[in-house]
Amino acid sequence: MHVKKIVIVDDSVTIVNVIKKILSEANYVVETITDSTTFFDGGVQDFNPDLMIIDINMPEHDGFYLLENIKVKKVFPDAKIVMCSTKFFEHDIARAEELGADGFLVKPFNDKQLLEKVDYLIGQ
Amino acid sequence: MSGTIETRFWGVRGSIPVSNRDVVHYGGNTSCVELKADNGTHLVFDGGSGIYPLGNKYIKEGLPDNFAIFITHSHWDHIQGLPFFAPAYVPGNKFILYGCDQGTLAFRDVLARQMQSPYFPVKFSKWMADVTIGSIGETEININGLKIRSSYAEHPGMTLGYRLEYKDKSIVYLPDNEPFARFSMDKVFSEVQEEPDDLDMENVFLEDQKKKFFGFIGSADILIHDAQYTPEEYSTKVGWGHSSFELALKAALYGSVKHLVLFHHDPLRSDTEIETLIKVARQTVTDKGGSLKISAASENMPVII
Repeated sequence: MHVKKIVIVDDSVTIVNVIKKILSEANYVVETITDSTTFFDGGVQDFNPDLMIIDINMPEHDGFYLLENIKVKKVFPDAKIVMCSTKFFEHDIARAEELGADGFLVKPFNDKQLLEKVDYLIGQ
Repeated sequence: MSGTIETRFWGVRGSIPVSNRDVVHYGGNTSCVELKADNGTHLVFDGGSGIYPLGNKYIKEGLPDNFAIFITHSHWDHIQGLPFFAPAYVPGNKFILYGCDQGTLAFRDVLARQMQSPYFPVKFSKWMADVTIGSIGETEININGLKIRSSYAEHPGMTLGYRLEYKDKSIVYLPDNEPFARFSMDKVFSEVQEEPDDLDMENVFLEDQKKKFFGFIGSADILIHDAQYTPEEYSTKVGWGHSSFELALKAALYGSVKHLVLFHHDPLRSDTEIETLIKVARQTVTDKGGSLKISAASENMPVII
């Protein structure tokens, strides 16, 4: 069975670690990035994820910047993308969808909501 | 080491400029706040319609050598005055204009777009002053001894708030912010600092947000915060990206702020209604035995610390 791989991009080490723990316990292989500026610099280029979970409010490259560039540069074109944020505003959720995100998780979310979203998109 | 900063409000209104007899005292211009440090450095937060009269003042007085404008976000009530900021058209003037990109749309292009035909007759490129455009996210900038920290606010689109520190003084500016909307307010403002249980994700998220937000506003001499709504109004406007004055008050008390300035008044809020909000807020502080000072921002109001 192909083990599904997930990249989490979030500047909060605490949040990254919690999400990673839940997904790892569900037998996903997880890589994390807390500095969004390194995303395109080879940090996960060999990882070839099936899904990326990307925070929006990040210090340097915000999540929308990453999402737009991922789509334009066709980085991991087959990977699903879930944006996650405390930004629960219709404007931002709609924008993520317009830019090609496959899902949106509003913080706070619980482990059930996280796994439901991930399993729905890339369930193994 | 003691320093002095004079804060002066040139625009205090949210959403849209207003002009009628009911708003004469507090004023009708949209967001613009001037901060003058005693070392001659002048900063401006936001370029709403209030930056128009501020610019006219600088035409008379001349622009200081160390001058920078910090824009929180690109909604019209925070940038609509920039095309009318007269010092930008004067050759020889020099300043820096900071703000955040909107995804791949650079801050410079965000500003230029509002001056494109057919929306405005003069292009952004016609600014004759030496203007440096600084695209920033969450960062820290030092200008002649003034430290300015930026942090994302909870508002639709990419939106920043700013914390200015100069010697022993601090001023926080969060004109558009709806924090903690998806959390229980009892938990947010609980005095009990529990170690987050990493199995309780809501708690983990809450503590992460509290650490970030209260680390940003904490112990500020002045907190200028979004107070667009009454609690009753807010109940029907959750998700619009603004706060009630009650939330601003709770945040200021919890964050050990010294002086809360209610800001970004709703365009429909009359002078009389603002006076009522202040009375309610001050009574709350009195009832709690606190020492928090409360004001409502009004045009030309100076606050010197």
